[in-house]
Amino acid sequence: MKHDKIYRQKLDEVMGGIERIESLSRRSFLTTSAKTAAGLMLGSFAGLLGTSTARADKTVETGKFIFPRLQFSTIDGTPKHWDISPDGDAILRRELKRLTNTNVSMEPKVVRLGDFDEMCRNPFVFMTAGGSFELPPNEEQNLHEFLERGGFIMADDCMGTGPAVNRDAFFKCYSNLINKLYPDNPMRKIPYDHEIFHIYFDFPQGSPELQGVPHGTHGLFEPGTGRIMSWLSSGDIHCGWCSRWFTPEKNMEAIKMGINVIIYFLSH
Amino acid sequence: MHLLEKLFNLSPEMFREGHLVFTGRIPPQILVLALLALAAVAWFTYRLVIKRTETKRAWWTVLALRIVLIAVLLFVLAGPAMRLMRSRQDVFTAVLVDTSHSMGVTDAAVPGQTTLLSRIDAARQLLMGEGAKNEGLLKALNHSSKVLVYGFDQDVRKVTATAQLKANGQFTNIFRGVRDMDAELRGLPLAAVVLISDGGRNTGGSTQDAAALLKARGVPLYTIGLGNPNPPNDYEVVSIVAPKRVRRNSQVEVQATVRHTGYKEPFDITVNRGDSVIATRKVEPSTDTDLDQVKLVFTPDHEGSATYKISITPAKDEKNTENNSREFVLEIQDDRLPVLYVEGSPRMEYRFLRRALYGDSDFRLVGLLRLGDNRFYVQGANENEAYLEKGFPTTVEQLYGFQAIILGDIEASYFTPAQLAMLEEFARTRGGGLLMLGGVNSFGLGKYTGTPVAKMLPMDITANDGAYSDEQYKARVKQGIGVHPVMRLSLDPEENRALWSQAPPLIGITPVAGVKTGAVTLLTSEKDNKPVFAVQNYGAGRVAAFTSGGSWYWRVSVPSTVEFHEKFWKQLVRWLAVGAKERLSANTDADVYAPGKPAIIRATALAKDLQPVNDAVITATITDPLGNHEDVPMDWILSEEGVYQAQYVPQEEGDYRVAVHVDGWDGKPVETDFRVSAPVVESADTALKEDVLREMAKIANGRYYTITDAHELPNELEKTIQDARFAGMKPEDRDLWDMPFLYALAFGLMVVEWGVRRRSGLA
Repeated sequence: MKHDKIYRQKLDEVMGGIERIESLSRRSFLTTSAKTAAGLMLGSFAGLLGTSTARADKTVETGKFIFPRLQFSTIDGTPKHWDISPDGDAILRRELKRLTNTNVSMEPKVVRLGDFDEMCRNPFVFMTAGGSFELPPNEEQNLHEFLERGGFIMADDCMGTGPAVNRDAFFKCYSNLINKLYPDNPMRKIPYDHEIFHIYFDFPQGSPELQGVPHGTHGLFEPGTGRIMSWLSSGDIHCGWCSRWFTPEKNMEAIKMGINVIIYFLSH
Repeated sequence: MHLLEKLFNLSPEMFREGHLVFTGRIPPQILVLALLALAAVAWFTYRLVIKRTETKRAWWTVLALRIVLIAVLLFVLAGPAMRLMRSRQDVFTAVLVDTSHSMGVTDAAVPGQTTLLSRIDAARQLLMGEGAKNEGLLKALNHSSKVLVYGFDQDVRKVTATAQLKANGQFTNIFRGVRDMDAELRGLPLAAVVLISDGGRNTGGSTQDAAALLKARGVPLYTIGLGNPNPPNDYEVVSIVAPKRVRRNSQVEVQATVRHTGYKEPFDITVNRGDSVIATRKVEPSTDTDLDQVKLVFTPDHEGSATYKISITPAKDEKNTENNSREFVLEIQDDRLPVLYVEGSPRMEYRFLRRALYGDSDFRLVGLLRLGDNRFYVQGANENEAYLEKGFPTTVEQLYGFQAIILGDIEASYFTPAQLAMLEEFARTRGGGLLMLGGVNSFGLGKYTGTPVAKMLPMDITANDGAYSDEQYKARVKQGIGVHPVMRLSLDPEENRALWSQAPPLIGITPVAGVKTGAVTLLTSEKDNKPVFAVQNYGAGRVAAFTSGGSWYWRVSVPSTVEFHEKFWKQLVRWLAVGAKERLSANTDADVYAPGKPAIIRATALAKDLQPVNDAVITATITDPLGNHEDVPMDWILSEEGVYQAQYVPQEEGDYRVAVHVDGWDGKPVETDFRVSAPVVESADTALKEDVLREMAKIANGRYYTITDAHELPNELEKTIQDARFAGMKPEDRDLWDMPFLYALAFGLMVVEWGVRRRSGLA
């Protein structure tokens, strides 16, 4: 409970800090980010900001990229923590804006898998959860059609706080779901030399596996073009975005991998 | 006879043909007066003699003899001569018989025949008189002249037997027939020309000029028309206009001109390739004319060249079906056109546009995505385009390696002034295509105002056109739907209209000041009429502007099976990319040739900077239908920079391929095709042209005959031939004063007079 309260306070600080950023100049933004990060990360994150080698260059704003979290239902109706650690999303947005010339909307956004029209307006969604899930038929159908129309699902297995047996529950559920929707084209491991691992930052050994069961990164590949339609990580990189569970280096690796996936999506 | 000729110096025939004239200096009238005077003197003189004699009879005899003698002497003094009118022994009549294909039509009604004959058969019968009660034109004319018979179609040849007259000529060249016949008979006495034809002419000089040629020579022309002047019901594909080459997956538009003589019902017109029906259209014939223009649209699904045929389904009662179809050759260009897409930063529009165009076999999309200052992500480039890792092309050679350029959301300041100028020349001179997409760094917002790129755009832009808006709106078709190739999502116009009316909304728009005069607006915002999509030609190239940065919504907001988004972008990019000039191009002056007709092959050679090359060694290798190859060197046409030409005369019917290559140049030869087949021109419009033949006869002071009254021609010609015998001939005077007969007569008169005098005592 206490942990949750501290967590929520910190979340408000982060969210509130992000809201104020919209009205600040770039210089002020960097300064504020540094202060906020220092306050959250007990100093180490500030160092991380100073050592990042890939800085965003001066660019003009272009069409906004929105990074929404996918909200989904389950058959049994129990929540499965689809909204776990939204601060990680916020940090990723911020770093995406800072480290690339992509114009990112800092607005947090939730897209419901049951609202297909809204999904169509957001062709990129991030999906995670801390355990197993089973979608109702209409959401399965929506997910399938979403992918068919060119949508992209970035999925990450959050280890969560449950027993060890569930540490790859989301991974298994998601891959089973995709394989059910695409029986002739099941998900398979993405090779390390795939450009998604090198498009912006280099990951010679593939996506970082921060925790959980190291199944490796899997992808749903589009027949004929080889384009990745959905990306599934077993390494809980989302928690790495949150910047409070791991070392700063690991956190930054997780952020960079997230950036790679987004850049890949926007260019393929 | 010989003795008479000796006495009179002339033969009896000459006396019969000629007439007496007096060539002496003393006028005959004076001589007559002299005769009378001398006769009076003689009478007066002899009157004295009568008083000394009692024989009056002798006196009168002597007086008469003296007067006759005086008359003979005066006759000699008068210079008598026989004037003979010379005539030609041989006079010619030329008969020109049309042997073109149209003379094979069976519609000639010959008197005495119950069935119709072909026109050529009717001509033979007219000449030989077969089965008729007359002896035939040839025999009739032979009585008074020598008859020479010529057959003519696209050539002229003398024939020695009517069996050689066959209706197998590919064209009808009446002018050449008359001209060449006239040239051959120049110097010979040509009395008249008889032209037997259906009056159809489809090549060569005019028929009026042919008649004028004969008129100038003073030779009358008599024309005989064969065939039916009232054409039977007939469908005909008169002509077709079709492109020679297109890109794969491009729509082909063919314009056919069709004639429907006597038919009012709807009819079907089809496009065939081999046995396959590619397209069909039902045509409602016009009521006020028998000519209609029909547009046929189809998308070829093959590679390389193919022969297509446009055909009209024959009617049940149609006799002539040979002219119901025409062929054309279509080349499908299958090399992929490189298109460069430059994007300022990663965004949704880039992803979905690449996705829509990816894998299209007509072009190779090269993506240049800016990820930061001096950092670019290059996709789809080949090994020659490695320079793109440093950014946008910096030389003409690099830029001209592409057929079209797409500028995404990228500001003008990214480009150097030289690059912006190069872009303008790329479209204007090279014929490349340019497309600018909407975004916060496009158009006026991207500070393109006043740049060479702004000059090209179909929209007016300023620096104060307003901010980019993320609004969602429906785009409305402004004009050109079903007409402009970019907007044609379906071949059926109604279906096309329905597709556009159901188009999903767009997201986002860059405001512009307006659309330029001369540009074509194709889409506007339904909400406030702002221009969304406009195109225009710019110099040799094409430019398009799409002010929305959110067409990706067209993809995700419709079912995955609906390819609205993909089709639109593919058609737009294809339209932009096809106009660019190639370094080496080749074509022929026609798609289809008749055997023996020369094909002119032309090639254009440009250097890497697309400047003409005038010293290249260019060869055209021609492969005939039998697989034989022939290398034909191409010569530079001095009057045209960079243009080369060669001539090749095909003989065999079938498909020919021409491969043009330049010595020392990389890359494969440029190919083009043509076909050789017997033309169908002679099957077109085969009605008897009486007006043409009448006019010719009138110009050349002759007369027109139908097959019914052609038997009157020999009688009409008789006087003409007779006049021709003496035409231009000068009379000949043969002297008579030295006739031995005259002197013998004079001596005889004197001897007789002396004898009478002695007998009668007057001596």
